[in-house]
Parts: sequence; C-alpha cells; structure tokens
Amino acid sequence: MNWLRAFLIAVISILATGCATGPSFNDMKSKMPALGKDTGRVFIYRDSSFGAAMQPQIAINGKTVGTSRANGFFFVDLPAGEHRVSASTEVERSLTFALEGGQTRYVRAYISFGLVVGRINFDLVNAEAGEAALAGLAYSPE
Amino acid sequence: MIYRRGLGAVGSVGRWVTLLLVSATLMGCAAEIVRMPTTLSQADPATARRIEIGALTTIELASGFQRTLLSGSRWRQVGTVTQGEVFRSEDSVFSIAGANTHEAYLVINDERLVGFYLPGERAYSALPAPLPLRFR
Repeated sequence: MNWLRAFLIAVISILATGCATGPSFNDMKSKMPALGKDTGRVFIYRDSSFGAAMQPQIAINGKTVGTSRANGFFFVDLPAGEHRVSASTEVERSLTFALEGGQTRYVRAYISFGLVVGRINFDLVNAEAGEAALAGLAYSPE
Repeated sequence: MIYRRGLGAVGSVGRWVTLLLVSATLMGCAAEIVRMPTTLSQADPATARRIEIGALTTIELASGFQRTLLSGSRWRQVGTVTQGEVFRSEDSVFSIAGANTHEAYLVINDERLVGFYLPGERAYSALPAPLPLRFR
C-alpha cells in the first residue's frame, strides 16, 4: 500500500500547487476601503482547484490588475462605466460589463479544457452567489 | 493475429485521442457574438415599465450557446434602442456568451425578444429570430 500512499500524496501535491494562500474574505472585509459615489468594486475569483497550475494574469481594460489563482480572489476599485476583464492562456477570453458608482460586481474565473493547455473563462455572477463563493477563498492580489 | 490486435489497440487509442483533441478544439472555437454599436436612450425611472417573465424560456444564441429566462424573473426598463425597449434584470445578472462573455439586457419589441443590449460595450446583438415571450 506504500505505492498507493505515495500516489495520493503526489496527486494532492499537484492539486495543491498553485492554490492561493492568504487571508480569508471575512478577514479582509473590514479592511476594504469604502467606495466613493463614482467608484464601483469588482471581485475576481476562482473557486475551483481544476487547472490550479495555471495562473494567468488578469487585465481590466488592457491593464494588468492581478493574477488568477485557484481558490483565490482579489478586488479592484474602478470608476463607474464600461469595463472589460480579460486573460490569456492558449487563447484570450474576456467579459464586458457595466459598473455603477457604489456597485459591487462579482466575476468568476474558471479553467476549462483546451487543445494543449486549459483555457480561462469568465462568468458574471449575482451578489448572492459571488459572496457565497468568496467566503471560502483566500485573498491573493499579486 | 497478435499484430492485428496490436494495431486495433493503437487504432482505438488513436480514435480516443483524436476525439479528445477535436472536442477540445470545438469547445474553444465558439463563435464570437455579433454586435453593432447603438445608443441607449435612458428611460425615466418614474415611468419605466416593469415586466415579469411568465414561463421558463430557453434562448438559442447564434453562437451555439443557450440562455434561460426563469419564470418569475423580474426586469425593469432602463431605456430604448432602435430595435426595441431595453430591460435589465432586477433580481440577478444576465449575460450572453460566444467566444467571450458579455453582460446583456433584454431588447423587447411587440412582446418578442429581438436581441440584447450589451451595456459594457454600448452595443446591440440581434437574436437569429425573434422569440415570443409570455409575461405575468
């Protein structure tokens, strides 16, 4: 059974590699700055370990704002208006949405199968689903 | 016989690999959403219409993806575009997807869903065919 133990350790190690580590959403919540009336907040999170080794950089309106890590999240405060979240793995994928002053939006990133490596995708989710997902994730801004 | 069995095994593996590669390729090759610039005339919040979807409605997008409007979901008019009245979800978020994902509001004309207003791009994307809607 030693081989089985070694195999399980190897699998767990592979799955854990690349997972985010950091304070929880609940720990972070009280430290987040208040939003101005012309500013909104966008949470970007990955709530799955699938494709954990892939850690693509996330851009908003073409500017890099963070790294997408498995089981991690980060947030960006942006002026109200139209925004485009994007990331590249073997192809570029994007999500466009509108942001109002004082509004918080939740963007779920996930990895799907690709031809050679996985591909990142984005979903815009509602506040209820977004906050529920964030509760189990680690703050991982870099 | 052994030779033929060996070839058969390789053929079977080859078929699976090919199937996997083709599937992965197709999954990554969703068509881009076709859209055109448009201008939204804002509705007066005091007089904006509110609607409630009366039956579960499945929308087939030109990209090959599907979207569902839940029965009982509520939508509030936010304005008008040339193609119809624009309604935003009151109780959730709604998006359409092709190669990329776009937040979307419904564009309704004569009780038919004719397309979507994409607020993140100030653009309109038409449905392949208007879809009759039932309201409560």
